Amino acid sequence: MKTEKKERIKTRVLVLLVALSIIQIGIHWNNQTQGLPFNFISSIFSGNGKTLSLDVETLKEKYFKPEAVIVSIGTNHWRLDERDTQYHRVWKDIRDNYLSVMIRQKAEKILPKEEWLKIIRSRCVRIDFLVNWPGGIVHWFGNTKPGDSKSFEGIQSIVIVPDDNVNQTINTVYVYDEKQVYQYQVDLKNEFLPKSYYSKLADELTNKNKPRQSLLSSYPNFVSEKDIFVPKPGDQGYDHSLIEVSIPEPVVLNMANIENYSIQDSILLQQKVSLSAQYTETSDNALFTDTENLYRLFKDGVLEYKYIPANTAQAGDVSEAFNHALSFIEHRRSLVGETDIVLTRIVPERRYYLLEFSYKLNGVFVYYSDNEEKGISAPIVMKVNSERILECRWVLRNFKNIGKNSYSESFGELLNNQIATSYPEIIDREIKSFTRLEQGYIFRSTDDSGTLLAPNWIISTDVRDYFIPLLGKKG
Amino acid sequence: MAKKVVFLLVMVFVLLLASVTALAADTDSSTPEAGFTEDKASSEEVIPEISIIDLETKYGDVFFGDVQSNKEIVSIVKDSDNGDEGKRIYPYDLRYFFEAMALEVDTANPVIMLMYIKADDVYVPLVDVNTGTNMTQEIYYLNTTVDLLYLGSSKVNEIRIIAFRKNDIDELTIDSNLQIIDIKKSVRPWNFIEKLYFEIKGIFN
Repeated sequence: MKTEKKERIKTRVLVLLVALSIIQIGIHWNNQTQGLPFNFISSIFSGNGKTLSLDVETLKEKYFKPEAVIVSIGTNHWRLDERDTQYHRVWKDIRDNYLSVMIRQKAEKILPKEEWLKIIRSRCVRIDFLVNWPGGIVHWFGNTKPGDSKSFEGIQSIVIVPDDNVNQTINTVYVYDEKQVYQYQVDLKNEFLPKSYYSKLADELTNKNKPRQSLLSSYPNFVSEKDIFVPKPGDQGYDHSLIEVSIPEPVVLNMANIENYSIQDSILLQQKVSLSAQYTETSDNALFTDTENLYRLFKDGVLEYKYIPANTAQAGDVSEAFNHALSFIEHRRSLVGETDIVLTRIVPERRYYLLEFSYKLNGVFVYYSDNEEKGISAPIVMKVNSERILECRWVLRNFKNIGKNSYSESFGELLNNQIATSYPEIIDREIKSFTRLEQGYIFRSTDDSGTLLAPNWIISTDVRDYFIPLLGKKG
Repeated sequence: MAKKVVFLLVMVFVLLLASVTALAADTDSSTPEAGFTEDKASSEEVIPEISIIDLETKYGDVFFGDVQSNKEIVSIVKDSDNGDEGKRIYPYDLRYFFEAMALEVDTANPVIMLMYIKADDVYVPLVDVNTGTNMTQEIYYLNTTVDLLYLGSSKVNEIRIIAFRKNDIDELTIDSNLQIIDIKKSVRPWNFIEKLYFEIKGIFN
């Protein structure tokens, strides 16, 4: 009896030890390679920071949103962004209601891209995205399969033209994917915003004295490929914060943060166990590496990651690549605080997708510049394929609002008092070509922690980038 | 027992002493800022005011005569919708917004733009509703908001825009350094439907 009991105990202990060994091996494999050889085990070990366990709905809300909602009536335009309630109402309606319908519905008409200009110059409400979102990602967000789509290959812009259809329960919608224009007639169900909301939006904005905008290209010899809006002369003056920029405390490169594992916890996450650290007080970077992964953190807050083995795989599915990118960012999101991270560029290559992200605070871009000659660069640049992150360079920064001041956003003042006197070359030529003209902030890798950023005009021509401080509001 | 109590009391006393040191505030330095420097008052260059009346007196024949000018100093911004110069501002019947861009940038020699309108066959100043003057002076971008005179599709507002560079003010010559632009506008009232629409909108908002 006693012997039986002992044997039972031994058996149980043995089983427990075997189970623990399997788990230990699994953790070890997971840390050594990106992804387990056996998929059915991966869900057990999925808390390794590499595979996505984030809610798609949350990611969709964070990343899949327009740069602007533009309301137009003739030559009167209003450019709404995240600071405007109408922006959120319109985008929510389109994202939650129109998009899924249009993905599943065949386009009524497909028009050549040359028609787009005519369509957007009528009375309409337009949504512009910063990037041409690939269909694969749109489907992932919409929880549909690429095969469900009967039309567009991507989304650069969506426009609602209420006056195109007299029926009050149908809205005419156009989708532009930079190749063609797709026309849809969308039945408005109960959950949709009523058609009258769109047809009266311009009037609502007029009554609320929302500042109107002019198209930059309406001025003689001012040209731009995409629509750039400038405030109409009048009583402009918006409040902008000063922004304090600093390297996030947990990843400030010093011995203390290495020894107390602050850097490892923040950047390496659960890989910290397997990656060996190399750092001396005199060096300007710390290296964390194993046979496959290389992380390098520099004193100026730049984080570099490289997957060491040669990559022979193809780029693969764009939504999976995007998934990996977001996972990498989101698991380190706490470092940048409340700042938004926005996808600004996506370039498909043969073996990877090049993704660029920028920072945004209070609806305004915080641009990054490596140096004066290079101009604006992306603070987060990734090469990703459907299997893994191949490379990443991330300028880690934390941003904090410091107070608010009133500034003049007068286009006339900018031209006469700033450009003409300080940068006349911008306008002193026959064709004045612009790719960007907006308010924003700019930080550089050489800025000390605690530097205060003031709002600037961020101007990009076909030659170079300019950063011109906003003038304080008069009176 | 007594020893334990004494020990505890000594510990507390030592800790208190240490806390006093740690919590001691910095003494403010009472050394005042050394020295006062008297800033040299900068002598600002006095920019002479331009007298529009003097200009009108001197160049009246040129400004208000039956003249044409091929010289281009500014380009008037046109409404991209209809190609007309100036943009009408609702809800004002006669209010228009004119914009002009200098063809060349010269920070030392700004452009001066004068606005006139014909009233009973005589040109009178067309003043800006905000500044109260018919003169605009800027290096590159000029704009003015004015109220025209005549309402009705059968009436014509004859507007004259005169543009020249400030340094040329003493010797203005047609086709050389003076630009004259004539614009004719017939302005119909906002029609009943438009008015009613906006009135109703105003009530409900």
